[in-house]
Amino acid sequence: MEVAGAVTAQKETTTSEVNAPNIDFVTYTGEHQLPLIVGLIEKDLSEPYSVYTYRYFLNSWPHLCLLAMIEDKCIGVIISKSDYHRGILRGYIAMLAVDKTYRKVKIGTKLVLKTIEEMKSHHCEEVVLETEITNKAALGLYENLGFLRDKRLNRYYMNGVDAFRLKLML
Amino acid sequence: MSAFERATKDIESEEWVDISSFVEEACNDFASGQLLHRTGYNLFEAMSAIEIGDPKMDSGVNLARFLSTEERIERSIIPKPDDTLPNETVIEIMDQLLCCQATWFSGFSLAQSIFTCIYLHRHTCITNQWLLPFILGLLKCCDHVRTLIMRADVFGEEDFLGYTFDFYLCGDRDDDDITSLLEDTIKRLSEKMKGPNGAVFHSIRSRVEFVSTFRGTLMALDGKLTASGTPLRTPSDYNQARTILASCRKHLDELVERKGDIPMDQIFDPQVARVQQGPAPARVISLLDFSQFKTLFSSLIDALDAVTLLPQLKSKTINSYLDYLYWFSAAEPNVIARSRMHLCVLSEGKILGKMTVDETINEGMLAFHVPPATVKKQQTQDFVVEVAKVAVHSIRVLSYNRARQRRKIVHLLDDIVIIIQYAQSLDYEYKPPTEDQEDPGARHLESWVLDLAVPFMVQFVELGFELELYHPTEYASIYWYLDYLQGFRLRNSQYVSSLVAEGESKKSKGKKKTPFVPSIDQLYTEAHMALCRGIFRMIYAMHCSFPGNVIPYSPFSTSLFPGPSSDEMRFYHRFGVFHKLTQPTPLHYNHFKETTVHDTLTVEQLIHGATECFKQAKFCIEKVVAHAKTTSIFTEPTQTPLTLSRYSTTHLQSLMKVSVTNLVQFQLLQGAKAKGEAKPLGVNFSAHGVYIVLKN
Repeated sequence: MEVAGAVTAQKETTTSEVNAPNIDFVTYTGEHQLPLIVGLIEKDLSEPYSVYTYRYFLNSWPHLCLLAMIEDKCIGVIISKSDYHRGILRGYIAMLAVDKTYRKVKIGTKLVLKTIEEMKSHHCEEVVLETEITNKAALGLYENLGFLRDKRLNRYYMNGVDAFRLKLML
Repeated sequence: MSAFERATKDIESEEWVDISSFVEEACNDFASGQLLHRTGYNLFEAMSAIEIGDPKMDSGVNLARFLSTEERIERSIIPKPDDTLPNETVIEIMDQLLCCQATWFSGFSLAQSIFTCIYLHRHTCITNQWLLPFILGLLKCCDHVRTLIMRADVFGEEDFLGYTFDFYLCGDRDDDDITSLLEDTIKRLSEKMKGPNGAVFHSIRSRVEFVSTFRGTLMALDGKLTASGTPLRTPSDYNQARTILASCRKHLDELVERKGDIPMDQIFDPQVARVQQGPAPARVISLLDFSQFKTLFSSLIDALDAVTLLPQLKSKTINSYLDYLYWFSAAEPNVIARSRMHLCVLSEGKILGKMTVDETINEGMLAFHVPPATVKKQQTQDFVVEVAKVAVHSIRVLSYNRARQRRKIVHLLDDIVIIIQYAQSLDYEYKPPTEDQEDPGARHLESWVLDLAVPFMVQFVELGFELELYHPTEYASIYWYLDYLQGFRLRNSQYVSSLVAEGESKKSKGKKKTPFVPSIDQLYTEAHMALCRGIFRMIYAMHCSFPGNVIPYSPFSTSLFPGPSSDEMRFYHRFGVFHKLTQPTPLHYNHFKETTVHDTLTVEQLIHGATECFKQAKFCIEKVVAHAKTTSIFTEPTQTPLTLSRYSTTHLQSLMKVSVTNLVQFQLLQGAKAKGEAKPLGVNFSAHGVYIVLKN
């Protein structure tokens, strides 16, 4: 699916090291979590998503939204969906964000892995997403998980940067 | 009245009503998170929706008072664009407009580029004797460009935004009037140059001449300067365009940025985009600067130059035109040049507006030694009609930008499958195989179609390098498959040579057979094949020498979801698109695994094997270079800034560099090994975009 402006908020670029804390990974349960999610994702985005975009995903595929929590604090989030594309059930990772303080401890990887497992259990045959070609951290994260660069999308983002469509066959 | 003018007037004159309480009341029945939407509400609509009042999304926020052009002039915020405007300011406005135009040509919206100029929204207020003709000429260029790109329809939203926002682009102005106005202005400026401040008037004239000649080029290539006003047909039509283009290049080179004292931020106000009733986001973009404008136009002129050379192509076969487009596309021309090339190659359904596509196909078959008697048959001509559709599709595919082109080739292959099968059935019908295994029946038509088709398969794979799609761990399998495709192409060509030799030996019975001499095309293909094979062996040798340190030989990295068929699935993902074709026979992952196990070979043997390949490639390229010196794809000696042929010196040199660099690095490596000082080497694409070389 080609959606102009879809951004994967994946910027694991800081070097701050933290010890892996006790993190709970919880599924989205309702609107009360929305401010936590929006707050975390908007820190990383130059172009904001409207609340309608969040709700589009969260209300339709709540089981594909995972939050990484330390007590009441949300330190990571992944938002995805799954639907049919050319006869194949395809998972789509729309957004991923991790709090700067907690980067470099594989929280992003864990969120992606848990989402993929969830998608597999729902019989998805592939997972796709887009990321900026300049976002080396995101590319590294996904390629280490076996994602391939399927396509290049010229000037995909509103800031004029190209995107790679990444794909993982399950 | 433009949308801008309406918007600035509406804000003043309309009676505004605060509906906040009404909206709040209407929302009382909604729980948080509920949404009223129509059936079919989708992601695109969700993402397109804005939150009213959010300044990042709602372009109307904080815009209650936006000053119109007249107000800015009345309040002396911007100077009046009449003849009191200092010439230095005129030059600066012209330069900024050129930068804005180049920004629009780069894919940004009109509202965020050219029409950030406040004067353009009230063009009738512009009376400055130099600025007015410049602006009218520039707007007319924009109108030409927009029409051209829309007509050619080989653009994507990433290339060009054609939405006009109802802006005035001089569409109602007669071309001849604008031409006269520009010519008259240039004449008057030439007179002024003889008087005081001649240098300033020279600067203004260069800018007016640049716009005038760029517009002239667009018009000439559109056939608007030919006597009959029809599409270009004769070489002299194209030559006329080439002459104007050369003049345009000269004027571009003359342009030097000049900075005045008057701030431009009120004359070019990026907030203009926020009052448009159209798809312009609230954000401000970075306009191209003067040097970027010059770079963009310089590349554009180079690419348009390649368009003007079309009638000089020696060969009139469809293969030659597609090859020309292939090389043109490799230069990554701007969407304007791609559109122009597309409309010239395929003008009014004919190649260069003259030959039918069918005729160029017939020429192509004859040049490929398909017997004339076979070509003439009615069944063959029916086949040609089908091939023509695929040829037109191919021309279009090669006219898209590189990223889109790779995606479009996937669909083109669906068409190619059909004509390969068609060719096979005709070959069979014309000469069914006999029981004599020596005479399996000539495959003239199939061979010709495959010669046309395989380059698209190669292009699909090679574009993956250019677009940076491949992970280094995939390189081994990519070169392995490329080796196969190039080898197939070579064998296909050799097969046709054997058919020709066979025909000639039948004619001259008893005479001594002439030895087989590879054609220059065959040597060229063999060079590519040898490079692919050499690099594959090189990767394997490096892997064995320094496991995991150079390029992991394993075709793919270890997935966290390995599964028994994981690598196979990934291999299929890269090459599965070729499985729809019966020829070249698709290769599977098992082929790769089975044919690439070199456990029995030592590193020295592998390096020796790779060395032999690079030597063979070097030998072939040397032969091709010798031939290239005495031949040209053009009828006349021509200097072109772009690489437009496989036999161009630049291209052949880059292939040679791949061979030589790898050979030298192997020698150094062997020497270091003998001393026990061998270290892992890296690889890069410094010599060629597809073929890697070892580096220290």
